[in-house]
Amino acid sequence: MPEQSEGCQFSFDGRTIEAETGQTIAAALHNARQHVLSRSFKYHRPRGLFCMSGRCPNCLCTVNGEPNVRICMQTAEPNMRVESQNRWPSLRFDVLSVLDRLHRLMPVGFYYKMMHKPRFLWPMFEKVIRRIAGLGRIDRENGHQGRYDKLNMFTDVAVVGGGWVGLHAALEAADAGVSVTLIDDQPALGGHLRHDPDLAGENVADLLAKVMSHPKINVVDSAVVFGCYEQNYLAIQRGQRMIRLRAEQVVVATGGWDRPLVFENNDLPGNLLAGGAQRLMHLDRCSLDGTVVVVTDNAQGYRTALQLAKVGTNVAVIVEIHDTPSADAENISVLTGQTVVAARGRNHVSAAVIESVSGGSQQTIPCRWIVQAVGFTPSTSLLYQSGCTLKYDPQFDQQRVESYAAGTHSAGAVNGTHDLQACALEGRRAGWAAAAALKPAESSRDDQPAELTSALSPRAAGHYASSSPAKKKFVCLCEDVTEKDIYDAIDEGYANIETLKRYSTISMGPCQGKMCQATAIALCARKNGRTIAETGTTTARPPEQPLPLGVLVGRAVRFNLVRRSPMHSWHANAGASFMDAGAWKRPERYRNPDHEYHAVRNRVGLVDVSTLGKIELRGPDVVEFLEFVYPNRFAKLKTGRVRYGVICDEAGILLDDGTIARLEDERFFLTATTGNADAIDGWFRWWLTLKPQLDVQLTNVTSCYAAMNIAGPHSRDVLDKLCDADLTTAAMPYLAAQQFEVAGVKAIVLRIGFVGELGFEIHVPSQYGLHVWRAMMDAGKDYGIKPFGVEAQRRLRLDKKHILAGHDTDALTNPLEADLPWIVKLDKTDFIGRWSLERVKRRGPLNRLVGFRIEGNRVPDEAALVIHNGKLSGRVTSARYSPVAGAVVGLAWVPIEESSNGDTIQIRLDGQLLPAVVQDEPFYDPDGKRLKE
Amino acid sequence: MMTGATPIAAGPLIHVHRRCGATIEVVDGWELAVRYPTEPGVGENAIVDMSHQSVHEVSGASTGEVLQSLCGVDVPIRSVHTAEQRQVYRPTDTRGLIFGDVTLPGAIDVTGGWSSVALFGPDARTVLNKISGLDLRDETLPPSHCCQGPVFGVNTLFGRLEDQYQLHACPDVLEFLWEVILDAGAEFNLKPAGLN
Repeated sequence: MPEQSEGCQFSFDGRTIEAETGQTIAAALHNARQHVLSRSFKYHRPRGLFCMSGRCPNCLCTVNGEPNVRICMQTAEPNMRVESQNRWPSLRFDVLSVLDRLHRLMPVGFYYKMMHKPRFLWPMFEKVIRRIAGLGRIDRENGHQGRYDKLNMFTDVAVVGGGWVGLHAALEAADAGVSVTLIDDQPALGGHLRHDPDLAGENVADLLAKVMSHPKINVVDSAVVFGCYEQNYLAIQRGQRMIRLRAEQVVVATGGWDRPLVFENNDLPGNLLAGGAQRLMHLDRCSLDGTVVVVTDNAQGYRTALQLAKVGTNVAVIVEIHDTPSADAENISVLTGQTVVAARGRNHVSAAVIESVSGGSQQTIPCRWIVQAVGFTPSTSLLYQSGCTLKYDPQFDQQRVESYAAGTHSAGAVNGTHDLQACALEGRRAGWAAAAALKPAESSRDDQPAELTSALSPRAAGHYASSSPAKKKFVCLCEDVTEKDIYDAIDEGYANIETLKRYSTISMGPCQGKMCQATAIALCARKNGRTIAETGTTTARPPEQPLPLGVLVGRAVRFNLVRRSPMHSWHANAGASFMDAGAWKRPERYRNPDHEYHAVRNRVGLVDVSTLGKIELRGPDVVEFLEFVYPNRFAKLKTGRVRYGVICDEAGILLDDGTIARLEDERFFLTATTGNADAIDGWFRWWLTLKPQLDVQLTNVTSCYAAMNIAGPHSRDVLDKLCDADLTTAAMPYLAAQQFEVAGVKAIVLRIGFVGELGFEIHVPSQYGLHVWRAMMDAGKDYGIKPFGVEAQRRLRLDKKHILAGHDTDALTNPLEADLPWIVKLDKTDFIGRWSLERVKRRGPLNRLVGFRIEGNRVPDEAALVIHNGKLSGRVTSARYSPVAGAVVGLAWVPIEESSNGDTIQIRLDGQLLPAVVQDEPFYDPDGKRLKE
Repeated sequence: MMTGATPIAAGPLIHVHRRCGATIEVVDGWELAVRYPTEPGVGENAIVDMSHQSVHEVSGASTGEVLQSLCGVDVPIRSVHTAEQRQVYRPTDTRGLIFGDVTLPGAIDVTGGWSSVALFGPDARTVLNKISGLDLRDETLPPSHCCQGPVFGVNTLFGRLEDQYQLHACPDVLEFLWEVILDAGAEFNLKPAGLN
């Protein structure tokens, strides 16, 4: 054991544990003889360290309130609070471990067959299942304290995997002059070489030094590439950060991991993968107390056994699956042609039962650890995701690339290459190929690293599971799926690997198949009497490794796009409550919308309409364009006049409404509904592209102008104080559009009104919006001016039966049925939607948007149903109480046969039917005198 | 009759600066944050509100000729020409934007439609990489070049000058953009600085 270095303390289920500096939590617990770390998902069996590389589910714990942390990868820090999961009341004594004895009642797919009869018991079963299902608990009180964010990166070549192969690939590509990003999931480069020091010797240090100092290589460590998307867009998790890496070329050098052996009680604490044992030894400086049995079919098992023996561990025997030893065992006994068929023990391995591979008598060897080195599962997920096709190669006993996706290369163990020299060459060739793809003119075949000419001896076919009829032979550690479960599921008809996966849930747990998929495929093949190649695989999808949702969302939860008008700060200081209008924040009310309403009707009010879409059209052909995109006429719109218009699509459906002002002979100023500016801009540009012969210049000036509408009997008086213009009706009649200074600022002033009072809409450059607004409020003090918000505005406009596009209209609304037949000029040459509107007119309208009036003060909800003879016949779109009408007024869609003036319709409210009378004329100032005075 | 108050222009961040205790002065008709209580030092990461600039737009088939006559040199597509206290951007073949005072027949004054911030410091690019998926590397956006792209959904015009990145967007989203940039720059100690 090395010298004790300065460390720290943390707690595990309330027990204080010492950890050395840099040691993982798992290693510290191992040193403290805490070998049971969790309880399994279904049977609540004790589980302990297994892979020590963040892939199996055995060491998932809650750390400082964060659930499902793989403590074999988490460095211990002072005062950490580590808690085991999935146990009650404690890890040592878990009540639900009784389920292990009731496994006969919980066969594969049992939840599809049980607990839903009798039906009345299901709610009870559901509560119980919810309580015991799942892994880890979310701290709902404190929430997550993390800060997630994102980072975008770009590189010429991305090398995924910083082991022996990846290092060579990165160096070769960088030496060729391209930028390289080398990503590895460990805190230091080297891959397996870090925990298997006998592999490459001193060469590694030189190689590492070259890579770390190379100016063209950017190393991203402790980072997991969890997804490969189109065009080599790699999604990477690094702690709480998601890195989006866009690479021109990708080299996959992800290697793989040890494959578990399936035998009875192979999930007991004390079972370790060889790599896990090596990591404990060489990275965490831990030893294995007691006797070790190594079961293997390859040289790694022998290396592991010898390394264990070197540090003083008692290695009782190497159980060699092949008939001859795979390597030199030196002084350690080797039993050939044998395999482990069972582990004995209660909460920890106490013995290994071995048997000949071909069957026969058994031998029990007392031990505390069973180290497994029986094969290798390549990490091919990213290759699949990138679009490569792979095929099972029985000579290599793994999936291997058959064809590469564009821009993708692979090398090393992921290809089935394990010889160190061959791996280095493969890595260099892949790096060279990636660089050459980017610099073909500068690369020559002579530069390409030579191919290894000596024949490689691929690994023999693997040994997946011992042949014994025992029940507790776990294939999937995450979901507690046994070999028997797999065979039973196949017997039930789920013989296809995809349906087997879904029915048994194998490979659907935290490991996502890393520990179990290869074995599951082999067992499925064996049971079906087919080959592994014929059995196929399931589909690999991101994320390759589970990750918190926060990593995907980043800071987006906190930052939703917000658009604010230039006067926003004034509204906020005035106590406005804001509402969302698309991304815009609009004042809904200041204090009391009733007061705001009355201020407009009786004195003067000011509303911020900066959110309106605004478009400028200039050029000699603007009129022709307007005639085409609007169903109404513009040829005779004079300079200095403004007109209301609607925009329809080819089906005659109303897209938007707004105003069109002719400021100069070839300059028009258009407005559109809040939030629709970009859509209308796009719509106009689309049609201008289709009509290149039109000389029209379009500029979206939505944000260029702040806009406000002053309305009320005294609006002219207020505006008069701020300008020199003649605002009398003679000089500026209703629907006039003029340009003059307001409060010293050049303004576009339209005499229009949405709320039914004398009013002016003022557009000024947005940098002066606050100045003009303040000037208006100041000038209006003597007249009792009030700012009014959207709520008051909606009440006011409803008095006049003015529609809100997108609120009173929908994707089926045409202007003929929206009570705007006067706007459609079918005698024009052509316009968008003409053909469809002609058909509507010929057919006659089927529905109509009507105004209605309800005596009393019961206001139906918007979208309240209109009922006729007990059946749904329409819906309310807007409704408010109107003080000036002394009744509830609103707009509703009704069938044409119920839409005549004076007709009574029935509106459902709180289960009752409310009679409402259809009214054609506006509820207030029907002749528009107040508007036009 | 007209009130006598001289119009004062204000950018969309003025109330943010005021709230943070910045010294506000009126310069050339604009309310500006000239100094922050704690300013970043030389060589540190800083963000400055540049929303007080005039902005004019040139568009159409003759954009190239118009910009060339203004600048005296050809202004290639996606480039930024800097001279005489102004930057001339040409993001596309038929569109040019001039930030800074200019008198140019045919150009439309779109000052109200643009607001700008400038990012300085050794980590400016990394800060932008946290909030935008644009490739801002030297080979794709060298100095004196520009590009357009989204930042948290905001369509933004990026300009790379020798010592700074400029971001231009609609004024109604600039406060949002400012918050996003400061949040991303927090780990690099990014601080707002006044115009002084």
